[in-house]
Amino acid sequence: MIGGLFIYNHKGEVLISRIYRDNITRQATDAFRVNVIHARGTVRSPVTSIARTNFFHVKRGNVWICAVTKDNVNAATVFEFLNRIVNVMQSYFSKISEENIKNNFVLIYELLDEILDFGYPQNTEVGALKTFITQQGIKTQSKEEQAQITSQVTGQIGWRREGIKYRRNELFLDVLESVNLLMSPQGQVLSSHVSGKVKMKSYLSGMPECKFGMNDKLTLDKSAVTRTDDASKSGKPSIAIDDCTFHQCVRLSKFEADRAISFIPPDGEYELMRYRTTKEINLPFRVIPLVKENSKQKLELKIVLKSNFKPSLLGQKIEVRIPTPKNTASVQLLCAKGKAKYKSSDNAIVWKLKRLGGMKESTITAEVELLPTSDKKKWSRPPISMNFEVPFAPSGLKVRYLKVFESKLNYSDHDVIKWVRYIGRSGLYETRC
Amino acid sequence: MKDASSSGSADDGALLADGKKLEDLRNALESGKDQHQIDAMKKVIGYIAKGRNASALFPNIVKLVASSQPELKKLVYVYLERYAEEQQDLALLSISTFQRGLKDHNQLIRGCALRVMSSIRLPIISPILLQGISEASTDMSPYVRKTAAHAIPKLASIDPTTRDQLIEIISRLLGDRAPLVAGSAVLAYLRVCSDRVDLLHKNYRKLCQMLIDVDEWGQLRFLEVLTRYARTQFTAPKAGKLDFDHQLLLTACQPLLLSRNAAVVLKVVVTCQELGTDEDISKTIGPLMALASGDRRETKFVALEHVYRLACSSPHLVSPYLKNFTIFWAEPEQTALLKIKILTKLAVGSPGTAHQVNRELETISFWDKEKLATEAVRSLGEIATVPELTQTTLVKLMTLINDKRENVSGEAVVSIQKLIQINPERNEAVIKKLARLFIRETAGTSNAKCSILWLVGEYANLIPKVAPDVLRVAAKAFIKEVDEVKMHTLTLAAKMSVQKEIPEQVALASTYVFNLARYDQSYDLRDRARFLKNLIFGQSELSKFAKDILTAEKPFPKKIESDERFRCGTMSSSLGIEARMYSALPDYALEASPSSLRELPKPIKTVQAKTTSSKKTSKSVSSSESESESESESESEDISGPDDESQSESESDSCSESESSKSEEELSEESAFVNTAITNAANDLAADKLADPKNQPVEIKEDISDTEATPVANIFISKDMKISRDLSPEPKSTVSSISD
Repeated sequence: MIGGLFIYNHKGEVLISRIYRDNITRQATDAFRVNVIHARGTVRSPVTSIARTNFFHVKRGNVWICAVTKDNVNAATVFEFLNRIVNVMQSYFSKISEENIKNNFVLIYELLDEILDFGYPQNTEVGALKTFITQQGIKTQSKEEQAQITSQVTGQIGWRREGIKYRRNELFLDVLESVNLLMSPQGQVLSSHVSGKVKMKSYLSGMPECKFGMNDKLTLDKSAVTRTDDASKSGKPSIAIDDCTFHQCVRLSKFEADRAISFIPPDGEYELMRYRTTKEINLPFRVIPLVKENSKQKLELKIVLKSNFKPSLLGQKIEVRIPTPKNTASVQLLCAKGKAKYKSSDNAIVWKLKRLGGMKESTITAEVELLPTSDKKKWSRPPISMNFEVPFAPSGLKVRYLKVFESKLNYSDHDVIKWVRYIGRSGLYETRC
Repeated sequence: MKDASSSGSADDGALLADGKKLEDLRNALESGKDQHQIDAMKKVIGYIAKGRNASALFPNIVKLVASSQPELKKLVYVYLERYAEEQQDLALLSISTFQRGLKDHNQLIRGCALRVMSSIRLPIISPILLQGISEASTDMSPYVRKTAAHAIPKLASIDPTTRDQLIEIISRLLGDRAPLVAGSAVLAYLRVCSDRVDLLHKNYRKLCQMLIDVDEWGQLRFLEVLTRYARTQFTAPKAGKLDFDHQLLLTACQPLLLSRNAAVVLKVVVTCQELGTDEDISKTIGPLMALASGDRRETKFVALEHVYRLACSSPHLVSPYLKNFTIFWAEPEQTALLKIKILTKLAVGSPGTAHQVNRELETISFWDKEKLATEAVRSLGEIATVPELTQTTLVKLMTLINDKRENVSGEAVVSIQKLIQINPERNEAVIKKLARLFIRETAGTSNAKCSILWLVGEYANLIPKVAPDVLRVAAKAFIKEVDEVKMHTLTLAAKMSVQKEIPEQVALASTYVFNLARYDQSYDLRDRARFLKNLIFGQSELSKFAKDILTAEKPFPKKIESDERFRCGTMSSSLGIEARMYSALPDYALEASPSSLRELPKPIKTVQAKTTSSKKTSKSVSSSESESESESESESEDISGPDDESQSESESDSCSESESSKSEEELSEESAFVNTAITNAANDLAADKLADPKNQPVEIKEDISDTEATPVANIFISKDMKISRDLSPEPKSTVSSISD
């Protein structure tokens, strides 16, 4: 399937090359370097075909990871696999950088041996890999350890080993969401969705069985039927999740049957689920643009930023980018809050606010003077984009419970310390003007 | 590899030139001290990673393979995999160590030895390797069995003569009940003998149930194999009715839509498209859209390609998600382009959305991103080919022909040209406007010029006053133009010359053009000029028909959708060219194969139905079997291999007691090598228990109606013969109720 795997630095020097098939030669590394890495400025499709050899690449930081094949493969599989390699490497040496890869190439070779046999992807579960490939090299294992590996390598629970012990049983839940919005100049929502993920860090002893509950409409409705309008009485808002995907540990058949999310968690940090909602999104900010093209030489911009959440909360790291025409000569800025600056290199005014409370409003006005140009074309008015971070989930998702059951060890659900945090960030957040 | 060694010679020098370094490494490797050896090995691997040639050290390194240090061993394995093929004789020294490794008590080492031995690709060792694989395939540890399965395609590629023996091993491995092994066994099947459908019959249902337990990469292979199987064994769904086993696969794959692995989700989407009914497909849309609007760039790209294909084939399914395809300014270009393509297909396919799409495309056509804007204009042109939308879109396109960006205005003109062709009479004014554009020399690109020239020539009789003027301008600019425009000018001159009454100026201008073309640099153009001149002014028979030939009605150009050729989700479809090892989706079978083929030899089946209906089914099953008896007989012999039970089985009815006794034997035999596997211990236990009550002689009818529980599967047959199966991985122990 995959004929070879190369890792390059940003200059295009080969850091790692591993070739699995005869039909891929070492010249392929050069072909990719010349045609993709050194082809600056042009658009790089993630799939490139050079002389009937096909290259799939992902770029992380300044490192290129590239899979090569001549055979017909499923493109999604290759990308998914490349992403998985990235995850595995990240969990071994935190950041993927040239330095780290150079220092760990033996480890990478070992990992590749294990997860890509003859070009076929295999078990890529970090938990399982870590039991027999360690950074300290392979230890000579005792009998018990060997038995442990046995169960993990062969067992259905490949992501957790037995006999984990913590003095304090703790778990952390992070609900991370990114809001995407496209708004028309008239304030009409053209497209909006939230893609979120629930990240979990678990430090639990033994083999705990966890149950995760959220205010998903379907679940609540279902339970409401059985428990006679319990949910409707409490009046808690519920959200409609369009679709979701789960970590391998979640029992999918159970979710399919009664939407219960139950699982045995891996140890440490992982992503429990991803989801997407498109309805009833609480858009944290609203941008109201007003553009007046007074004359050929003058432009007046007035942008109102409104925050739309509880007054007790604070939005952070707010940045609004207001594009200006290419022939801008000078810009006069006036804003009540935050700092604004005209960046001629980006053709944009960047307005930064460290924080902004809920239900507030702030305005920036700009007078733009334009140079006369021969180009008669009208200014195309690119959309205003913004970045922010808010301490709630814009989709309205709430974690209702996370129960932990461990029958063999003597700790109960109450003894586990649980932390939940919600973070909403901007994805692509654009207002056309 | 050959190229590598030849190109490596320079690097070889680089390493060898530093003779001292090499000597140091050699000394360290020979030192006998573990730590030194490990450090040296790490350095060597470092050289390999950088693409340098380290083959000179082969004799020193091959000796270390016998080391007891696992870490050192691993490094040596890496080295051997790289260089063994070049130095075959020396590499043979290491084989005995591997053979010993295959007998190690640690399963990891057994697996590793087999993996490396199969990776070093020496044709000489294929008999040893075959034996190794054969032994490993019956190993106690699923991990080793898995490695054996992985080694099969490798051996098959080194030595094709072993294929028959390998197929035997594959058929054994396909029956394995550990999910870990099954994933790799299916891979081996796919690579070595994907034409041997007969191996799958007995395993089909088991594979369907296992699907959810296999690791994610295994799931992908499972789906591929099962899709192929289903396409060749079942008939196309008629009016939403599916074969029981066909439905089984679709039901089994749907939970995987929730998988974290994007590739799995997409594969399920494709599977449903290729096998399912519209209802099944509609279930997959949501997850597909989630991927298409996800935040991973590459996955998004692939998912959007899927959506595009879907939008082509069934736009009504995609159109509710129209909003997902609005285009963000900050989006990478290739996804934005795909989105435009999708929007276009939606507008063409379900006209209800056209208004919205048109507005979006119009917005983009004003953007400062030329490629997107051009594509948007082209798409507007495509949408306009839908009769109801032609006029409104045409108006929009007309505003764009004056755009300052050459590409955009040019594209607009080309689009309009196509539209006019649909209904020239009605659009006389538009043709005039375009002609005027040309006369004023503001038609941007040469493509646009060609389009206008062609239009004017074609409909010269509609605009008798403007056409000569166009010819005049074109003739004047002739020498400055590119070949294509010249060609079109020539055609225009020819078309004008065959009109009924032509003014003198036109005749002169045409002659001028013909003369210029005759001495042009391009021989293509010269040839064309000579041809047209003889056709129009010559004396031959054909010249009488010159007018008919030149002004014949041209059909509207149809766009060819070349993307449809390949299976969705394959790289071939992504690139638009056929990649190596692409295999097309087989057509549905004209006649379904009898379901008795897939019936498991063990009778742990449950039937929850009234006796009346079950009677019916039992009849029908036996009748269908009688049809295929000869076939199933031969196949079961193939499969069961060592235990010669097949004879008795094919003789018996589907649910008779002889079969049940067989099942027990088989179970016990199977459990001999499986029972150590932790995963299946529970399953096996339950199965063994269950087999007990079956041993007692039972009448057939009772067998159908009374036996209640299965660990693996519950089949129930409902009244209308629609059969479905519950997929519960956990064994339910209702054994007691049966024995009572």
